[in-house]
Parts: sequence; C-alpha cells; structure tokens
Amino acid sequence: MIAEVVSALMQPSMIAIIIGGVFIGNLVGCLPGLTATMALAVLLPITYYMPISTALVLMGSIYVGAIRGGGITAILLNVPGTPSDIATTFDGFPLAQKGLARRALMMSIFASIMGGIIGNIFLAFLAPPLARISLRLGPPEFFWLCILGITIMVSITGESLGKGLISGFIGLLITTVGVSPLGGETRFTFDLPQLAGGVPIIVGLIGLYCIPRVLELAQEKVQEAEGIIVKGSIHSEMVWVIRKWFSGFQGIISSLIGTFIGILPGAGGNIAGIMAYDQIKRMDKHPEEFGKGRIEGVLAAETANNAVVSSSLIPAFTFGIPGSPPAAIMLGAILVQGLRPGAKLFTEHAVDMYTLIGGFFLANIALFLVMYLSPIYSKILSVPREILAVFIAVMSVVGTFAIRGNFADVMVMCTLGTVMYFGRKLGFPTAPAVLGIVLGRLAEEGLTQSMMIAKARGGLLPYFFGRPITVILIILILFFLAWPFLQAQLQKVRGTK
Amino acid sequence: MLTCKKVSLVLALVIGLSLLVSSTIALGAEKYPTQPFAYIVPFSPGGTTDLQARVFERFWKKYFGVPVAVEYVKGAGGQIGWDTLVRRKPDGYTVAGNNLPHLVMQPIFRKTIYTTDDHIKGAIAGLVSDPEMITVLKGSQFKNIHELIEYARKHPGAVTAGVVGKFTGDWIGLKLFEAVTNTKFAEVIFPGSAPQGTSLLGGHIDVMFGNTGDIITLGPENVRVLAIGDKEVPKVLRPHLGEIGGPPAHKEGIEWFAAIHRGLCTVPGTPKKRIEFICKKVDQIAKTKGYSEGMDKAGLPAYYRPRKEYQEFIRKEKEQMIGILQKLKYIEVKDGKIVVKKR
Amino acid sequence: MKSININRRLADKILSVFLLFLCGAILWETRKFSEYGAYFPYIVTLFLAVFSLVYFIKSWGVLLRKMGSSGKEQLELIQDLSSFLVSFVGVLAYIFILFSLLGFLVGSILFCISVTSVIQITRSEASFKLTTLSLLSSGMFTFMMYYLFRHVFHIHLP
Repeated sequence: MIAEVVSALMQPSMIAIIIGGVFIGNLVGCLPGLTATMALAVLLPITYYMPISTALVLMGSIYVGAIRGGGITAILLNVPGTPSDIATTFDGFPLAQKGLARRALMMSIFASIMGGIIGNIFLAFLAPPLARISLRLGPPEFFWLCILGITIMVSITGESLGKGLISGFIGLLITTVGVSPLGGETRFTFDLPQLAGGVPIIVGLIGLYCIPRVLELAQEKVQEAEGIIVKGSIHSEMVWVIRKWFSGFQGIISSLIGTFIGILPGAGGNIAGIMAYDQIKRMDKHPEEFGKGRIEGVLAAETANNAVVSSSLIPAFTFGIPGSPPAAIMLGAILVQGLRPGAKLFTEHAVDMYTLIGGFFLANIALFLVMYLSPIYSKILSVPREILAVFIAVMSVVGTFAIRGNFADVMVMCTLGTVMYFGRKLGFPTAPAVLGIVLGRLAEEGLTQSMMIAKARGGLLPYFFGRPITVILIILILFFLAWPFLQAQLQKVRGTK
Repeated sequence: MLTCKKVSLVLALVIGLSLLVSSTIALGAEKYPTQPFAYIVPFSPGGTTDLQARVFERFWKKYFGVPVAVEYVKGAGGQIGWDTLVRRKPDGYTVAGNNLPHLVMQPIFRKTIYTTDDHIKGAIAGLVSDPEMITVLKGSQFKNIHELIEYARKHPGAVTAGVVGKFTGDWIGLKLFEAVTNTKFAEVIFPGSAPQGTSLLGGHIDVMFGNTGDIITLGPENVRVLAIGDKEVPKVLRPHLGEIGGPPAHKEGIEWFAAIHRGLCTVPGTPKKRIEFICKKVDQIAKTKGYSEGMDKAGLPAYYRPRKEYQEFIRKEKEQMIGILQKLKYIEVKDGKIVVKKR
Repeated sequence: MKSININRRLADKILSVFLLFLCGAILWETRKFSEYGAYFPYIVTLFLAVFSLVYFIKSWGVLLRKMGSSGKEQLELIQDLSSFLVSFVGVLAYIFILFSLLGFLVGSILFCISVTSVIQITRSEASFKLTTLSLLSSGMFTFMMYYLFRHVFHIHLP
C-alpha cells in the first residue's frame, strides 16, 4: 500500500496539483470575503472527473493554502482573512509596523508548515480515538467552551476587562438577530425578511475589521506610511524563523493545542489560534511584550490554526461530522463519489485516504514556495493609504455580497463597521466582538439544548454545571477572569518584599 | 492642482461611460439558453440538497447545452435562499432546490418574501422522497419500536428526541409520532443534521428523527433504525438492512407516515416556454441511468415527480400540514386566514 | 487637518447610559419570544446589563472616584475630519447608489477614483503621478475583482 501511495503522490501531475492548489488557496485566503469554503465549492464539479484521491489532494492543498493565506492580510493590514487568523493580528501587525513584516510573514509560513505537519500526524495515526473524545462533549460543554473562548480573548486583548466583556457580549447578542435556530421565530429583525438569515460570521468579520480600517487608513498621511521599510532578505529571515521555531517548546505546544481544539466541530478552528496564543503568552518570560510585536505571538497563532486543517477532518472521516465548513465540502466530495465515512474508510479505501494524508504533507512542504511571493505582498505596505482604503472598501462590499447575494448583509456590514470605528476609539477591543459573533450561535445552541435535555433528565444544575468536563471549563473561566487581579496581587507581594 | 482635478474627473467619466455602453450591447438575443444557469442551494455546502445539485450538475451541460453554477444562499432554514429566488429576474436562468414541508411551514409561522404559491408556480419537478426514521445508537436500551413506545408512555417527557429545526420535516415527524402513539418526548432541537448526529453518537440524546442521508453518513455500523415513516424501505438503505434493522412503521402496526421531499423550482413568472424547456430537459436527465446511479451513490432516495404532479403534491402537502397543525393546536383557521396560536 | 476630540469621561458617561438603555430595550423585546428563542438573548443581555452597570458606576464615579483617568483627558475620535467624511460618505454612496444602481464594475471604478482623488486634492497632495497611479490601479483592481468573482467563482454581481 505504501508503494501505491508514494507512486500516486510522486507523479508530476499530482505535484503540479498540490503546488497549484496551495497557490490558489493562498490567494483566496488573503482576500477577506473569499473563503476556502467558496474555493472548494467552486472546484467540486472539477473533482468528479478526477480519481477521488487526486480530488481530495487538490482540495486539501487549497485548504492548507487558504488558512495560511489569511495570515498575510492579518499581518500587513490588521485585517484577518479568516476568523481563525484573529490571533495573528495581535503581534503580526505591530511587527509589520516596526518594519519586520517579512519576519512575521516567514514565521507565519513556517509555523503553518509545522502546525500542519503535526496535525497531520494525528490524522494519520490517531483519528478514531481522537474522534471519540470529541463525542464526549455535549451541549453544556460547548456552551462553556464558547464562554471560555471569549473570556480568554478578553483577557488577551483588554486593558479594560469591563470593556472587553461588553464588546464580547454585544458580539454574542448580534448572533441572535434573525430566525432563532431552535425556537423557529424571528428575533430583532424589525420585521424585515431580509434580516431573517441573521449576520453570517464572515459579514461580522469583514464589517468589524475592514470598515474601521478603511476609515482609519483614509485619515493616515502618506508620509507616515512611507516610514515602513521591510527589513531582511527572504532566506535569512526564513533561517532565523526556523531556528526560532525549534528553539523552544512553544511550537510543539501550539500545534498540540491546535490539533485537540480543532477536533471539536464548529468551535475548534476559530478558537484554536487564540487558545494557543494565550497559553504561549502565559508561559513566556515577557508576557507584557505580547501585543506589541513579539514573534512568538505569530508563531503560536499560526502554528495552531494550521494544525486545525488536518484535525478538523478527523471527525469528518470517522463519523461523518465535519469539524469546519471546508471539511464539510470535502466530506460532500467523498459522499458523492459513493465513499462512506467510518472506521472502514481507512481500511477499504486506505490508498485514497493515505494519499490524501500524504498530499497534506506535501502541501505543507509546498508552502515553502509561497515565501517567494512575500516581496509582492510586502509591496502593499508602500501603496498610498487612500488607495489601500478604497481597495479594502471594494473588497469588503463585494466579499460580503458574494456570501449569498444578500444586499441587506452589505448594509449590516457597513453599520457594524461604523459603530466599531467609534467603539475602537473609545477603547472597546474588536477581537472579542468578532469572537462573540463567531461563537454566538454555538453558545446559544449549547445553552438552549442543555435546557431541553436537562428537563428530561431531571434538574438543570447537575446537567449544566455538574458534568466533569463542564466543571473543568468553569474553573478555567473563573481563573481567566480573576487572573488580572491575581497578577496584581502577586506583583504587590513581590513589590513589598 | 485644479488641472489634476479636471483630468481625473474627465478620465473617470470617460471610463464610466465606455463601460456602460459595452455592458448594454451584450443583451438582446432570442435564443434560449445562451448563458449559464444558476442553481441556488439554500443550505450548507456538503449537505443533502447540495449533493442533489451536484448530481444534476454533471449532466446539465450535456442536456442544456450550457453549464450550471451552484450558488449557496443559506440562512434561516432555507428561507434566505427562496427569498432570493423569487426576487431574481424571471428569465429562466435561475433554479433552486426546494424542500417540503419547509416551504409550507415557514410562510405560516414567520414573515417570508416567498409564498408557497410561488413554489407551485415555479415548480419544475419533485426529485426525492426521504422518509423520517427513528434512529438510536447500536448499544441503545431500545431494541425495537415497541420498547421505545412502552418506555416513553411510562416516562412521559423523559426520552430525549433530537430533531433538526422547529417547524421542519423532522419536527412534524416527531409531533405526528407523539400523536399516533400517544406518547410525549422531550424535543431537543438542532440547527443541522451534523450536530444532531454528533449528539446521538455521543449519547447526549436518546433518539434521533433523521433521514436516509444521516444513516449513511453516521455509518450503518453505528446506528439502529427502529421505524421508517414510509410504506417501503428506501432503495439506498436496502443493502444495509441486515445491519440497521428498520421496519416500516405501518408493518409494526403503527400508522405513522412522515417524510421530507426535495424538488426543483424556478423563479415564479418565468415565461411558460422556458419553464417547459427546463422541465423537458430535467425529465430527460432524470430518466438516464447515470442519474439514478449518481443518486444511489450519493445516498439520495430518488422519487421523480414531473411538474404537474409535483404542483399537485405541494398543494396537498399544504392542506395536510395545515390540518395537522390545527389538530396540534399550533394554528387556527379563521375565515380562510391562518392565525398562529402558539410557537 | 481638523480633528474631533471628546472628553473621555463624558464619552464613557454617555455610552454607559446608552448601554443600560439598550439592555432594557432588548430585555423588553425578549418577552415576545418563545421559550427556546428567549433563553439565550435573555441571559446574555442580563450579563451585558451587569457589565454595563459596572461601567456606569465607574464612569459616573459613584463608588470609585479615584479609579479611571483624570477628568480632562481627551480622546481623539477623528484624526482628520475631511478625509473621514470623504471616505465615509464615499462608502455609503458606493453601497447605496453606485453598487446597487450602476453595477459592480462602473460603480467600483467611480468610487475608487473619486474618493482617492478628492482625498488627495483636499490634502493638496495631488500630483500627476499620484492621480495616474490611482486611476490605473483602480481600473486594474476592479477588473481583477470582477473577473475573479464573476468568472472564476460564478457569483451573481449586480
């Protein structure tokens, strides 16, 4: 079997497909509004005319490329290309401002490669047991997981805990607009059927990040921007970055976090980056430097979010439960071809499956080639600010419209963005609000389903607060909320000594 | 400085005008079809409605002469997609997958732009009839449907039953089952079949009301079907019968029939000739061997209904649903108008 | 270059009152919802109300007069009023007039060119080089986007 897999992967056409896929994905990922999901959906018909293994490898390469591509705009423009890149903006953008854009980009490439490879090892060898763990999490666990995600985000971003929490909870509230997923009625739509579909995650992401950026960029003067010079050559930076990645345990820890969080359907991909970032920040000797341009921040976020790529396929292939939207399309592709998910998939169609996994390895390695595009991307920094502003505006509008051709979405996007612009000026962080929008539906489903199930099983308290995993999650949440105070107390104690 | 302003303004105008002119010239041909079709899928990529569209997509170009592009317009249980459909130009270039009983229930319970009549006017064909199935885990305490009913009667509201969405096919299937067997379940609503399946596999719910596709994706080795809400077992499930069980409910003495139906429709108000053309071609595709093979492969229980029959079917379904909802006291009909009583 | 500033204390005060009011309105609205539809917005709004109350107390200095900033700190809301207005009105006009009436191609090109050149002119930065740059890049960018969305992704653009 190994020989078959290797010979399938070593064909020139396969290698061309992998490289092409990674480049397409990279382009798609860096444009906010164009998502990996969209690119895969467009490609689906082409894949009928290929053997299933080739089709899966192509889709996998695009997925890998797209997740990495999202880091580019996060670093250069402070606009994450996909929700999973939010954590990349924290240190990536300050690094670019310091003239270290190239180093940050190289780090995002190499971190993605390593994260992807490690996640892939788990997909190859440990898929069934890992998928079984993910099944242990029921509605209450998902609710607390979402709250944990927001709490962590608030503790990372906020100078002010209160404003961060307000921002995050407003994000959660925004997701309640539209038809209630479980109650069936429409909420907060002002009787407009156009709003019945609610605020899609991408619309929230584009609105809250892009529009404030458009308004800010328009006000920046050209001279300010020209100060940024991109330092370092591609190769020397890459070597530096590789050394950095292997110099500590941060990389390994981030990829493990990414893999384990990525298995959880829905929540995984979006919070893995943040969780890894937070963990690395806490372990670092200089946590205060995070958010001001510390390369470890980019390392953690990008390693974790690419580890998710492979691990989101674990529940998809073992139980038919996709961990992320792109995984859903790949699942659809194998279903149309008549393959069935389950334990048998890895035995009956072993060659196809291991070709895909091998393809993932190669796609991650092919990401090295993407580094030669870096000089082109870095040129973005020298484009006059007002031109950049209008381009982002056009991209936001088309990107929002492209999601489902709903004009109301564009208006919602613009309104959210304008409010966020002023909110940002008044000290309300963007990231918790976006995470609130990303996780809101999941949190609502978790909470309401818990109520429904608890009714049948007698007692809300034991079901909602008493299960072992929920207890752990609640303790973590309390710890993160109390952390700033604990830290202050600790410093006081140290100070008096 | 002023000259720059002038230069840029003039240039902008020139570019703008030339573009306007070039875009208007392109219109005005009589032949149909000349441009690609758009196929709206009002649900998530990778779901059953998407799979249906993908089966069609393979044959589209051969029969229509032009390709088709799948568009995902999801949200509000299909509503956003169908609202988008009825606002598209009725030029015969847009089709959409539609689902029953969704398109009957939604306009009753909330404000929609589309109406059920729009779907009757634009109906192309019915394609799939997917019966509801009462499904449990392999290791469940309920070995057959009678055990489940007996237990649920003894412990009302203690058995959790997962359904996808409120006022959907699954939900009405559950309500009908409760009415027929005189039981009461604790309904647990899910936003989609993927989280519903996760919860069943993880043991967070006891029973799942699902369809053929769910059984196939969750893996016949993991689940057991207690009853099927149809006269016969769908063809695509027959190879797995030994593994999953799955008797039709009426053969077990329970008069329970519930199903989700999927079909195809176009924008209401499309010229009759064009509707007929689409119907004819879809008819041809549906009769090919490759189509039925594709449907089987994708796990879709095909049931073809031509336009007239499908229109009649939607009408009947609407009457039936209104009757059921009245019996369950969700709605009331006053002077031919539907009044929602509870949600 | 005219900028708009606001007293930080004042802004916090107004905003906290607004947030409390918003929470009240939402709680009132949730009464109309079904049981399952109301749980989540109700609980989230309750928490939001608690956070807003803390914010309110802090900003009005009822309990913690010493905390927070000194009363005179100014916050910069808008750095450069004219550019802000141009870009903001431009985006609105783009969405509501150009994009929906004239279509994507024409609308976007007009939007890009007019906003960039007006900003350049108001700042007296306009030069032949800059104008040509924005003209050329706007055209190229728009066509690229159009091609990508329309022909690669088959997305229905107005």
